[in-house]
Amino acid sequence: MNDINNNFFNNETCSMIENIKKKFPEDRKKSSIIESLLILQKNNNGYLTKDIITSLAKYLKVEEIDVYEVATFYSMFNTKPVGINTISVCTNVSCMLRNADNILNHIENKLGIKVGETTKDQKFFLKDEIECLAACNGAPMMQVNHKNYENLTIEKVDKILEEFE
Amino acid sequence: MEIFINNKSYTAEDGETIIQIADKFDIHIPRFCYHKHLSIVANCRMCLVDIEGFKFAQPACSTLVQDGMKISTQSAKTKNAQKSTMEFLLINHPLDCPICDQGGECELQDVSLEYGDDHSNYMQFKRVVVDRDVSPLISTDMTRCIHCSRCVRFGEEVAATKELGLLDRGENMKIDSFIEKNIDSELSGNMIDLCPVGALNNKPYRYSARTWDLSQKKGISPHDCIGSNIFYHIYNNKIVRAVPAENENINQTWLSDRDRFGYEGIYAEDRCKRPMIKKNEKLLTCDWDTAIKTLNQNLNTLKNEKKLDSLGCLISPQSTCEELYLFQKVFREFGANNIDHRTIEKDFDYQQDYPVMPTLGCDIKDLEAYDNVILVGVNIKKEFPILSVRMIQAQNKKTQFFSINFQSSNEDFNPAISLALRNDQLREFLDYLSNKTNKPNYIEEKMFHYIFKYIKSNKKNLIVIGPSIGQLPNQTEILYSLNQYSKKINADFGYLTEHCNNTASWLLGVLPHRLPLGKRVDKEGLNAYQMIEKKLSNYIFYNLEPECDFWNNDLVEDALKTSKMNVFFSSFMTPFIAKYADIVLPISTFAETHGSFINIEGSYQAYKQIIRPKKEIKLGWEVLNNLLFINGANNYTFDTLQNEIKNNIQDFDVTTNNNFKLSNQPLKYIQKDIFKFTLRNTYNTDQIVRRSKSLQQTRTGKLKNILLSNDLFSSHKKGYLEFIDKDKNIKSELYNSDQSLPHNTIAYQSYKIGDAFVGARTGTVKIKS
Ligand code: SF4
Ligand code: FES
Ligand code: FES
Repeated sequence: MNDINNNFFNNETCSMIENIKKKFPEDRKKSSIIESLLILQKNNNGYLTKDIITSLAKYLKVEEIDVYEVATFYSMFNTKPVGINTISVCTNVSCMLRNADNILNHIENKLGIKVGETTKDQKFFLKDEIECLAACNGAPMMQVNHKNYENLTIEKVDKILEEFE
Repeated sequence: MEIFINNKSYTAEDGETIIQIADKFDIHIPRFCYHKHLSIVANCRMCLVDIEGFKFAQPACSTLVQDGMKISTQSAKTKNAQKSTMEFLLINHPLDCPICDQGGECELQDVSLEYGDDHSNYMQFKRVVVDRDVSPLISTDMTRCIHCSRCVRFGEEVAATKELGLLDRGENMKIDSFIEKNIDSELSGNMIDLCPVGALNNKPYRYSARTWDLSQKKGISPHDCIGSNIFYHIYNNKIVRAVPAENENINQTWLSDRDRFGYEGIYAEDRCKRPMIKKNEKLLTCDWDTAIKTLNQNLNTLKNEKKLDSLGCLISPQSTCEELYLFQKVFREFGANNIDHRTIEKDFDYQQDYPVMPTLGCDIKDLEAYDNVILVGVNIKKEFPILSVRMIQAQNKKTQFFSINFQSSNEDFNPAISLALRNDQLREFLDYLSNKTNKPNYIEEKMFHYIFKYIKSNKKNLIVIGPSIGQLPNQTEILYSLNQYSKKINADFGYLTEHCNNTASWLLGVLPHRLPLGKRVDKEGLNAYQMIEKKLSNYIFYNLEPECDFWNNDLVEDALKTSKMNVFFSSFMTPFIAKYADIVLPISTFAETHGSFINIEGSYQAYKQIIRPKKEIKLGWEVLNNLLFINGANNYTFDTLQNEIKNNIQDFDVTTNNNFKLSNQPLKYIQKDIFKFTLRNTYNTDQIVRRSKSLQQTRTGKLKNILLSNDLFSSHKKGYLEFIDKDKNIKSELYNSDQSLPHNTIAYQSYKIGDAFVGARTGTVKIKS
């Protein structure tokens, strides 16, 4: 188990990953990548590093590129440092028809960042590539730290964001 | 079952796909992602065909045939689908064909011409991908990539070393390697062939020719004993690149990087260009006539004075069958007995009992029929990369591999057990497997448990002995123990040899104790090691690099220093040759002559001259023939020579070859001090590869450090390494620890340490503390 960076793999993380591995057949090692990455990302302020990816690849005995593919494909993984709170504004059809673009513009202006960026004070990360988050009935909607906030208005958004200030 | 393609009926089997049937009957369906040796992903959509009863066109590569299916590759629906797909694929393609090397052999170009439309509706910006320099062998222009994922699947499925992956998604999707990682595998060049566009191209070949100006000649790999089939592409009598020639029995559609880029060595600066003769201590050019006559005179003098015992005749097993056969014939005709090709060996006690020739013990394609394959003294990935592909296939079919080597092997397949043992331990270990007495305590109990559980005599077992065993000072002991063990587990017994034509060298009698076809010699000559060690007064070296092709290059230098006549038939002017040669005869490399090799299965494969040599360089076989002729023998033409060889070997039955028994070998060898050995690095194995510039720039090509086992490394506190090898003092700062070595072991990765040669390939050393 050389090359595995123990900062990321403490006993607790290891046992969690071991539990994930148990869910899949032995010759399907790659199946554990997604869930393991989620745990590791959570322990590392919400983003992944080269070191984490390499360590997980060694730990699961898969290739680094296998893990990297997963990490770059899914929007729930960040491969660059991000702010503490993640905001995802849905701009897909239903939300768009209910003026999601205005909401997004407002947030961008308020925080002084564009989609995909993090505020200088590291408090907010405005995520990009957000598609339908399955809450069309409450459109327009957004998630902050994976919690849904629906039927948004500009005032509502201001209030919600204040809670995280 | 019966299916219809374009209204004609064809028979098909259950489980076949439409594209397979179409390919079988030469009905063309355009495709990008499909490749017969890769898994099916159906992501390019180029192969869409119209099937009766389906609303939409279906991908031919992934749709299974059904009885009575009616397919059309011509209908409007098919054509429409093809056109639309093509338009989509070209949205982001840069269309930079005039500056793209793939132009003229580009699948995208061809398909676009044949099935695409003449205009595009797309007016927006195109995607651009920034390229990284990932390999000295492969150039990347990823903006051209159409995301067929063949290269990714090749890594995943065929080479079992995934180096490229599909990163990001949607429009940002790109093919790349892991952060800051390069493409280093030994089979990487195949991705160049697989890539249907110009995204992955041959870097050394880049911008050197246009494909339509090339001619193509077939050759056989001169770099290993597998005998991969190769097409050489020639521009103006110069090889500019090599690609695989398909041979399902040997290399399928693949080629190792060594076979693909090795030819560059032919164009090395140190080629011998003129015959030379030493006069007044100076090596001067002369004409061929003078060179041959002088050699002939010297040989006849030796003959007349009955001094042929003082002549050593050595030839490299990288030579063609014709050269090997004529070589032993010429010098035997003079009366010489000291004839050998085994220049990298030391211990020859095995030679009387040895089979007529070394073979793999089975056909390459049959490897997957074995339950267990035990690899001894070989790292397949590094030494026989093309075999890796077969072994991965075999492993997928449940063959188990066991690897025992001096360095635990890092393979592309996954050996069930991979042991690293010193040469003294190897014998103990093997004897324990056979007799179960004197259990070695350095091996974990569960390893033995596993071995005894799976390797049983009622299973189909194969033992393969690698070329590193030949370098051992106690190779006979090891061969004996392996032979014993093979009888015990009822295993087939095979070899992988140092060079491409060792098998022919044995079969054609390039040996001190045997004539062609294993017939006994009346008066046995000296073996290769004795010839060097005994410091004879006359030497003939054929195709050999005295610095690197011998068991101990120090001894070679000693011998050359003291001898009276050193004759080199050589393609390259090495420093030793320049210093010690009396006669130099510049001869062709494999590519400049007609020739043939016998591969490790025993398959005889001939090829025709690929390029013409420079004016003053002669074909090796012609020079030998000339020597015979001026002494009154019949003049051979290449055809009569080749026929004589073919007639000789055609009756030889390969299958009986490997059933042999080595006579008992008492344990003589005792290991003291530190075990040292020289690794057979992929790009260091023969004189042509050593001169291939591109290969030497790869990561493997650059490996030079001395490797120390962990225990030696951790007890060594100085900033440099100083040790005594025989009576030589070696000092080096370039060393590192290697956990895959057994205790008390040093490994060289090159024949040189700084400017000094390493001396014996295997043996012992003492570290100065
Ligand atoms: S680089 Fe070539 S082989 Fe690889 S996905 Fe792109 S087009 Fe296909
Ligand atoms: S479109 Fe916004 S939640 Fe569905
Ligand atoms: S070849 Fe069938 S989808 Fe690519």
